[in-house]
Amino acid sequence: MKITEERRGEVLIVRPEGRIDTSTSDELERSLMGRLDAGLERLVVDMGGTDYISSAGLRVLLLAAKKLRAAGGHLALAGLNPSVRQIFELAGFFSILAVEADTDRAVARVTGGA
Amino acid sequence: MSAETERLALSVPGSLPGLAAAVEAFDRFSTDNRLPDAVRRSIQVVLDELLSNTVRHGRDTSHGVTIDLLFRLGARTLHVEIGDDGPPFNPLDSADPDTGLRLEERPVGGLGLMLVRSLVDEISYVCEGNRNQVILAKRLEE
Repeated sequence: MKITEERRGEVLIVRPEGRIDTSTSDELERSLMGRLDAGLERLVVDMGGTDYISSAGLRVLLLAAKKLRAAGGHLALAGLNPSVRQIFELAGFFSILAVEADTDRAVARVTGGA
Repeated sequence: MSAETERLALSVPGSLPGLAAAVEAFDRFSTDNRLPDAVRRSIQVVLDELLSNTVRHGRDTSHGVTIDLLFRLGARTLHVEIGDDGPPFNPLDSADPDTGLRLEERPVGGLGLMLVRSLVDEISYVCEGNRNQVILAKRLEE
């Protein structure tokens, strides 16, 4: 899986490309956990390049969110396509994760803190 | 001309590479038949959930598990049949996870089969002899 990263101040924007499923979620998990273990506290996951996400991917996002919450950090997601939005709705993820319409808003969300 | 049906039948090993091959094959079938993105993505999630369960449950079997897939495209509905010779497993049999829990309370597992049941319009399961068979249908239009 291609994962690109962009720094904006203290915020790291991680953008996975393609599907987040059983075949690719381990790689995303290693990438995100590596950053969090190294002390990252403000994370945006740009889902603009994500075709779809299965429960394997939801699991990785949940793990990252829990780890950040425990460390007093902030996570926001952006760029969800309609299929990803539907999965989030079914899983009840909108009530536990911060989701913004675009990356700029997500960066602002984790910078302001919530 | 009567409503044409496009079909794709394939067998894959019950392994992670087999799962990936099945998803890729359906991806090409979707493109070739111009399936709406929403339908393609839903079925790809369903395949990931069901086949990853089959792979996981088949790990302890002495023989390698084989997964047979059949996709049939009707005028208004996509039909999918997934059969395997792994241990008996009914994907309809699990309780839905509590999606109202707060972040800290949420268990990490349990979402997959709930997603499957929500993403298709019809689903049934039968265990015949040593075969699991899941039959599902998804309407092409919302």
